Amino acid sequence: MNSTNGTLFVVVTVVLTLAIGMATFLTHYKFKSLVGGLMQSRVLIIGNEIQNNVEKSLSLGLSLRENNTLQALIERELRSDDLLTSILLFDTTGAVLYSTESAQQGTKADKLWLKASTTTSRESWLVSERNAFVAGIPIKNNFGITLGNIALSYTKKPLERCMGIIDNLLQVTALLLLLLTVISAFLLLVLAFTPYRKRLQAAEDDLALLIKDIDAVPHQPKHSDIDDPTPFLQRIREFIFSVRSAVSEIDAASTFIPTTNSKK
Amino acid sequence: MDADYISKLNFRLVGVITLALVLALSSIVIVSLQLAEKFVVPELQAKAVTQGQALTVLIGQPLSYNIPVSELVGIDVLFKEVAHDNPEFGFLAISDEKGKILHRFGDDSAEAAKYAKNTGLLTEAAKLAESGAKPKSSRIGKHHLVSLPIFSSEHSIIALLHIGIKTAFVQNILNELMLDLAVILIVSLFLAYEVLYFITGGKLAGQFEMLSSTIGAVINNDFTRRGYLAGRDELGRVAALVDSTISKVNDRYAALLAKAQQAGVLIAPGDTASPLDIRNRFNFGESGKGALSYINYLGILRAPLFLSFIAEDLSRSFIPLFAKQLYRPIPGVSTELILSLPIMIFMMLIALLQPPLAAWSERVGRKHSLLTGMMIGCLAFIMTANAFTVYDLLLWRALSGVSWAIIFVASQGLILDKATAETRTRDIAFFVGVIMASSLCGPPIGGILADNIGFRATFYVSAGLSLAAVIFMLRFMPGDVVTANSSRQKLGFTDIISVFSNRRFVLLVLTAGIPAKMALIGYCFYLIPLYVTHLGDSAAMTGRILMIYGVVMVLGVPVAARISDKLQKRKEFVGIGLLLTGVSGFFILLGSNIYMTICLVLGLGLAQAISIAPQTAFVTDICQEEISRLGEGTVYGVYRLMERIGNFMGPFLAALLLNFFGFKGAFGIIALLLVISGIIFIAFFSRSNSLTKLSDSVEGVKR
Repeated sequence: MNSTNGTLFVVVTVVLTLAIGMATFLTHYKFKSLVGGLMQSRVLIIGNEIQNNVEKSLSLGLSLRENNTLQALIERELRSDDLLTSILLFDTTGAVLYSTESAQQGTKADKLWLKASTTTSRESWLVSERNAFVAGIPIKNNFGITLGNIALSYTKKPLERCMGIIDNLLQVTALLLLLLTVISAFLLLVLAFTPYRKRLQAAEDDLALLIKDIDAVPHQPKHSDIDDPTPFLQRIREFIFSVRSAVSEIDAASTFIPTTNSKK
Repeated sequence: MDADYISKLNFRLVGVITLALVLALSSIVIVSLQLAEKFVVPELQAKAVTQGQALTVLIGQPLSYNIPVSELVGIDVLFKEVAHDNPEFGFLAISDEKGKILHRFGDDSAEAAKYAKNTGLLTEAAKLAESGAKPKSSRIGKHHLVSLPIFSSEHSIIALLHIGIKTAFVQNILNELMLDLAVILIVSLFLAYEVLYFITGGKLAGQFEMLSSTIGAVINNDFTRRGYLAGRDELGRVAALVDSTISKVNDRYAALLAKAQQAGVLIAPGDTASPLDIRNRFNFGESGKGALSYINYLGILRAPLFLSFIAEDLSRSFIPLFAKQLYRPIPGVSTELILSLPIMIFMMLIALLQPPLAAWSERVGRKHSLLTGMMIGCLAFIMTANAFTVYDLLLWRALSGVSWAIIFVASQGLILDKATAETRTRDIAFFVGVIMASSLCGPPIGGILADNIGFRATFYVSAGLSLAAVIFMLRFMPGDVVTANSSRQKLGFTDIISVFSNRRFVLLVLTAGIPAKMALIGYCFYLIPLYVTHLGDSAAMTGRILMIYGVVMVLGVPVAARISDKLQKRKEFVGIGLLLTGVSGFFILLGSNIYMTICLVLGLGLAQAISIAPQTAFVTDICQEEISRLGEGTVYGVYRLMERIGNFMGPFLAALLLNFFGFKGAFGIIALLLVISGIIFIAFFSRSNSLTKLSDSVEGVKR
């Protein structure tokens, strides 16, 4: 970077872009996990109702396949929330025993669901598909042995719609904030660094002159010689004096050495 | 313009950036508040309605047997369970047709009772039930209240179920967001310095000091110093002109010497009478160098090094939690021990591989080894993100350990290769600075990421950062010039034995070096992430707590080092540090909450800040003979190697103690060990000091 102003601009831009970017990203995920989590827990309330019902009949000695009220129950529960698209029950082999979509009955549940249901260490599992989420709850018998799972599919559309609005608002806010803060911080810093830059510029000019005319007669700098009598510029003048003194002494010493020709 | 002026400039820089960050981040909080009201409250309301519908069905079952609502049994237990499963519900109640509350749970304020008495609710509920529309919530006091009808067996409304969603629930979410944004603010300030460093090649104050000292030397007629500044801004240009001027003077003096030699004139030093003898007044440096074409290795190295270290530090707040997620319990095998293995193996490999890797890195070249380390790191993170079980996780963590060790030794080697006598201290401080900054920024950002995008995705972020480091290296770092520096001593087994013959060194290692590291890694890497989750908090909270350690260290180490050097009380500082580390561990015994964990980390940070620099300096104090025989590098190499034993012992010991004694026992016993170590250290070195003084006195009398 060729100037302090350039450096300040890059620092301000990079730092604020990263900070605002991180904050926007964080807020996006916060809302996504929050709204998504609330939707999931809402669906799980329905799932838990079905689970209680199934587990009660299991404790009465009925097997999963024998429960003839289950089909009606899942169909009724499906109607209780617009979010739900389908509910099905599958056993540990993945065979679909009951489903609100008649075509699914007797088929095999998605492999991903089966994997999620066997690997989860929690009381429920979640699989994200292209257009829907599938929340699952295991069905256990009195001995705590898992006999199957309830899978509740619910549409992603409300979450996507909600996140679309949130993201738009966040992006516009982030861009405006970035512009506003970068410009104002940069201007403030330029203002704060102006005396520093000016002093360094003055030192640079003095040193450039020194290099151009290093043989000039040295004279001890006085405080009054300097327009801006800061300790730094005072030291630069002392530096110049020291350099010129050294050069003049070297030159003086050189005059005492006879040239090779005169020696001959 | 002096050091004070530069400090003021730095203050202004930090002030303006902080102001801009506060403005930006608080605006995001305000927007989030509006978003929460618009999107979260309706979702909470929808959930309350779903929960309410389930409850009304359940409550409706006994009512079909003509049991009056007021005589229903077990409603309080049911409400308690619902509130437990849904912490956002702060009020649950059933009121009859006249608005009299029959069953209630939670908020017992008059506002909620007054709301339930509103008979208009019943009419409204009837209308909604008829139309099939969902009820809406009303904000009453501390709750958003939703009311649902409870039907009799004749399908008439006989009661209302009220569910109150805590308004504080939304506020808590925003508080959490504000804490995360505060973390971003602190991390951004550190990033500001990193960016500044990358662009200008150093801290403003450090660069100015360097230039000032070169100018000062010339003022004192010393032309042997150089500026070593690489920036192209005003300061860099002034430094270049200063260097160029010094070169011109040295060249001219060299020309004088050449002329004198050619003429056969002797310029005798010390002959002050001779006009030729100017060496009495001036000290000239080497000629022929011209202006320095200085490659700013530190500035170039800083960014990739920071990226590599932060990539590893991202996972610090959750690695045991990730291992726990992957682990399937095996009967008879301690879960705690298995969860400590990823950290232990990582630390063990770092400790054991550093000496051989240092030699390898010197042989193959620093850039080559850094690139190798960074690429291995990138691969290790990708594989960790895809780990199936805790066992393959161990393998990938081992790979991460190898990567970290390579990057550490290669960067340290590069810094020492390029350092001059004048820049050595500054360059080492630079290296420590990168590690500090990454350990401060990594855990909180990693915790936030893990909470929002998950553990595996966070490892992908780490892989991305490692890849960015590789790209930085390839783009900016000049090619390797492999010059095996034979003067650098290599650590051998005989050196270890030789240093270990000093019993004061052994005691320092056993009572201070190993225990301090053991507590640090055992607490911060293993116990705290597990304990914070045990308390019901998130990985983000662990990250925030671990950040406190970093902040205290960054602020405390230079201050403590300065004071201990000034007072010449190094062993006292080490002793106090050890005792304080121990005492900090006892905070957990005072209460199982997050505040005590914060107190522990604060105390630990303070203790380490007090003792870390004096401990290192104390090695020089007690190993004078070994240093003169083997060199400072070898003695410190042995000390660091021994200290790292504590790094991998820490999580292992913590896991064992956790398995047998639980969290309080693990924290407490480690704390006790530290207190005992501190007492032994203080007792031994006070005695040792008295004996040395006594022996000196006896020697004096003999003489």
